[in-house]
Amino acid sequence: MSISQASKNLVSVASNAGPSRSLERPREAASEHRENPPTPLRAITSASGFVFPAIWSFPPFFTLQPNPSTLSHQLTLWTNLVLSWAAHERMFMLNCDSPEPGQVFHNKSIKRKLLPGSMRTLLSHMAQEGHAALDPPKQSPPTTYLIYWRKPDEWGQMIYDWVMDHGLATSIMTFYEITDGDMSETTDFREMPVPLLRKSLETLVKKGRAQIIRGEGDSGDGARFF
Amino acid sequence: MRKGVGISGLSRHTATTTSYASLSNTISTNQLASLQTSLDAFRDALTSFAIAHRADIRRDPAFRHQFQKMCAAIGVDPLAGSNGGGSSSSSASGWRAEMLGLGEWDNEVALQVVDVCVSTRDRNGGMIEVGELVRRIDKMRGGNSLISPEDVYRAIDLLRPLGSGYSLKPVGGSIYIRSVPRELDTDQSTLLVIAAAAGGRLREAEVKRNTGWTEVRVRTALEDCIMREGMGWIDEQAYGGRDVWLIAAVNFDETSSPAMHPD
Repeated sequence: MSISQASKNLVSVASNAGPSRSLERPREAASEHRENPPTPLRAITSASGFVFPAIWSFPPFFTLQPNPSTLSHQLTLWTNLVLSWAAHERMFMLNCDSPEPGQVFHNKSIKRKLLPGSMRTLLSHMAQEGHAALDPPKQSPPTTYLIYWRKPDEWGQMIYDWVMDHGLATSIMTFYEITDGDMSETTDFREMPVPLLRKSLETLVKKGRAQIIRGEGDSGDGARFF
Repeated sequence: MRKGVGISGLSRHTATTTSYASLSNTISTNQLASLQTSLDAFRDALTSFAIAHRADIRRDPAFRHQFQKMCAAIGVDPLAGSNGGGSSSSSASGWRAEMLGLGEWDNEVALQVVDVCVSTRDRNGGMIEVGELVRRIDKMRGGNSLISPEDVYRAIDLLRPLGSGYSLKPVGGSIYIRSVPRELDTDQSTLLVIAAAAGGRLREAEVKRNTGWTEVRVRTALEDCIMREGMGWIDEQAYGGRDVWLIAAVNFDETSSPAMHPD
């Protein structure tokens, strides 16, 4: 017996059970299944203050659509949502196999999740569009991604401006000092993962405004700005 | 009257019919002439009214609608009318355009109708409820000079000569605008009615119960909504199976302030 058949049987058992049905059926399931008057789907504000748009409460949003043009629209909506959510939460990396990859992928009030397979499709789409990058670059299957709610060159510029504003030009800073030092506490790149920091600094190197200096181990590496 | 028999009877009958016909023609002509006169008078009055209130007509959707109803009643502007039907007549719309300067305004609304229909087609498969269309256009117009459903209906009539295939589709209690030329088949229209009553959601079992269709017919109709029309979205995580949602029938409330999440 398949899961869907099993749950269908469960429903019919529950609805035949009469007055005791509320005992046999989970309350949420019952409320989800009453003949609902058409209520508008509304935006929802999370505890952390992020506003999920109304489409996030649309159950099929969490199933990738088989119609190609619907799917392409859906992936665009998801991409924008993930980017703005990640920016709000300062989420730098996402892991498709994580049981709880983030609130955006799981709407508890409608009991819908973006399942790992769908999340892979979404993130690989985002990577193709330049809004994410596999990190490490070679993975099979592709699972962990850097999320570019800012692109590496924007991060690079931001770090460069910050270094200049603090009069740190020409001094050598370790990666750790940049992302975790006292001075970066209020910055958006606070606790940025090293791979993303490296990509961001590389954009500065290309412009001739920084030099990456090898140290021992990743956190031992440093950079000089000019 | 004595019933005429034979040849003379026949010819008398013909003569009677002919004179009746000519009499009725005369009356009709007279009536028509007097009607024409009063129509002309009315039209003149309407014209001066229109010129005096041009600003109000352009600004206020309710006022504009009333005015259009008045025009439609005397056949001055057959484009107006709440059913959106009627054939277009260039002289009448020309009058409207000239006297009111509304031609440009009409074109603008028509363009905005096209804009919204095309830009939302990916998500709704070219089927949009008139209320949502109006809201989106109002937003696009930046909140000044609101439009009404009647303006949309007229815009669609205006688009008809272009062969763009925009049409009105009454479903349940609402009117939908179909912006792809293909007709919805009756099964899909039925599905839309059912979905509209349930906030957009369709369950195979419910559809079957509501329509008495066979399982195969239900499945095919749902499948067509998704794959052929692009107005259906699948929800594979539905409790107890698979739901199909017709996005045109879903009410997305983008305007009121967000609800707080329980988490």
